[in-house]
Amino acid sequence: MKVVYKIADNIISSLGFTTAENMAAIRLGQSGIVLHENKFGIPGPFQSSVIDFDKLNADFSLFAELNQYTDFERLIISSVHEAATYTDIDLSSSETLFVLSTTKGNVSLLDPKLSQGFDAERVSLWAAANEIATFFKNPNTPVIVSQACISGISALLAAKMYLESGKYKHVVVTGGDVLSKFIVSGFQSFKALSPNRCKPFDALRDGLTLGEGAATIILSIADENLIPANSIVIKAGATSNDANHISGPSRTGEGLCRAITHTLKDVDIQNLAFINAHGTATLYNDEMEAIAISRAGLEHIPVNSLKGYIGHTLGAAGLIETIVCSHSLLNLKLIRTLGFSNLGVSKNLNIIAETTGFKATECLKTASGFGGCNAAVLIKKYN
Amino acid sequence: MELSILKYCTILPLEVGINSQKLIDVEVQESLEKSLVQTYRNLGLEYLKFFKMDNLSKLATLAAECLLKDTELYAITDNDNVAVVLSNASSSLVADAKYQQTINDPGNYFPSPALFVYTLPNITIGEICIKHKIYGENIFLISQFFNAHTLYLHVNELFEKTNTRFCITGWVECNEATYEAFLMLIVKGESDNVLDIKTLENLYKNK
Amino acid sequence: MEALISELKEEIIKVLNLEGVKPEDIDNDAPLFGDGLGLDSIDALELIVLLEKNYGIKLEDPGKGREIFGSINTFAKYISENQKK
Repeated sequence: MKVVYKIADNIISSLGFTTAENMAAIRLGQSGIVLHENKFGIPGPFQSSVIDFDKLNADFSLFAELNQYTDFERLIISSVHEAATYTDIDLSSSETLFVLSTTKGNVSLLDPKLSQGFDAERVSLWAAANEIATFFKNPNTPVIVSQACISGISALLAAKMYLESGKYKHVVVTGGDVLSKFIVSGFQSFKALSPNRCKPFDALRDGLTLGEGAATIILSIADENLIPANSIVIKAGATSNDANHISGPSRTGEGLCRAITHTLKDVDIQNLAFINAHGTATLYNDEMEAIAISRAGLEHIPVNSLKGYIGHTLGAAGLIETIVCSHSLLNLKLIRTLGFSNLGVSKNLNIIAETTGFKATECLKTASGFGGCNAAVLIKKYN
Repeated sequence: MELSILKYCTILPLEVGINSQKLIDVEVQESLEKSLVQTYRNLGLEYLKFFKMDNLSKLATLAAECLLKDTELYAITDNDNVAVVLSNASSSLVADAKYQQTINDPGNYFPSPALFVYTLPNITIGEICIKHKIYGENIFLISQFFNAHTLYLHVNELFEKTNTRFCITGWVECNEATYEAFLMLIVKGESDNVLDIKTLENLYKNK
Repeated sequence: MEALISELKEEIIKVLNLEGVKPEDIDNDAPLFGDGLGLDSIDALELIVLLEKNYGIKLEDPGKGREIFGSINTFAKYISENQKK
């Protein structure tokens, strides 16, 4: 049987420019969330996790022309570039497809102060994607997924389907978002941001923390008997819509429950090590997830959220967090939910508060977003 | 697996049709928004939430309404085997520009949540799913032009690999100059229009 | 108070895109949320913006919103007690 598996990855966030750097910081319980004052032209203070763009740009200028690209494009290109160093697949082959996940791409170009001399149409997601694919000389039209906070998982699941169709040999799934006045002010208008570092699933949680990030997962497909030892396989997944409200999470966890149930249809949950939830730490999201997880019969499975380490990285979230999950599976260590102290949801979830070991080989990653969309993906470590 | 296009609908500022036949009359209006509202009224729709939407979601809602009228879907209550795969070129740019205006001037800085919520293209899918109680697979794809290859690949795989039995798919594009919706209902089995890349391209071109 | 109530009704209809609703349709004591005008969470957030934009009142605790926006009367009362513009 053919399986879709990960051959390389990269994470760029406030915690570092490689997966290794990010994992090292997470293991030490470090958070990249800091308090900013008047950043991005936002009046007043707010907490967020931002990337060191000075360093990113300095590294970027060693292999490409800085001014030809926007911040967002440089971020994604850097991520793909680093991931590609761990594999010798040909990114310029017609058998390789690029799938890009992002919520707002180059939206900061709409700001009259920040248009940086680019053409008006550069704000379009397809224009940004073309710059990225062209940089790697890839001849295929990139596929772009823009689906709020589930973009990353949605892109991953689409990539899996495209590989299984036989049309491509490899898919580079990459995604991210750069913070801007547009994004931060928008979340502030929703009163969604916590004045402190976010506290997922906690009784005192009071909002989310935004983060910038990018990640790349390079996927391939092969017979399960021929993949390298300890490969991470994308086993199953599903998306579903709440059909309830365009911004408020469903009170019954409708969409998420269905996405989880479909994903786990053929799975023995004895083998499920943990669930990495969306866990944004808003009052309603975490409660909705608790209900969905409970309805799916998974209340006893260890649950964590990674948002306390790097914030909510929007278009990168699904990808960054899946990569972190995969390393959790490889190291057999549950990662504790930074920011969590006391359970504050109506279901008795098993929130991971301490880093502990485990034996199981599969985990579930979930995400939910504006528009009532929900996604779940099951990844498995193959021996 | 044999898939076919059971029905398709086209909405432009001066044209509203089903399977290439005119559905209702629409006349020139001063603005795109007025055209969308006129289309709503001429369709005899009664859905007050429509007036809170941005143009893109208004367009998507109208297209889904035309497409799903009198179809079997209304008889199915547990619609998690209905998938929605939408695409466009401009994402939510018109709404983005409108929202940006509420934050440009530091002396008149009032970010609007009602505008911000529409600055994501997949809200269109949310609105369709809410109105028609659809819980299935959903995705929003961006491409510079209508991409029959990607849509065909994606939709075909959804039918092969998931429990999808119906798929609402197509192009819902809204920019400052104009709007166009080309939405199809895909089902298993045979009908006049087989789902393949050539048919998709032809139907879109001649819509 | 009459003038404020009248102005408030016009503003709410405009800002929340309440199609087909006229000021005379809104009962001063009827609930704005739930069954009343059927306003939702996004509308509540827009009313918070309206409070600041038109009347200079900053509502730091959005939780208080449901109380203040209970009806036109409670809304108008809150504005007249806290207005800064």
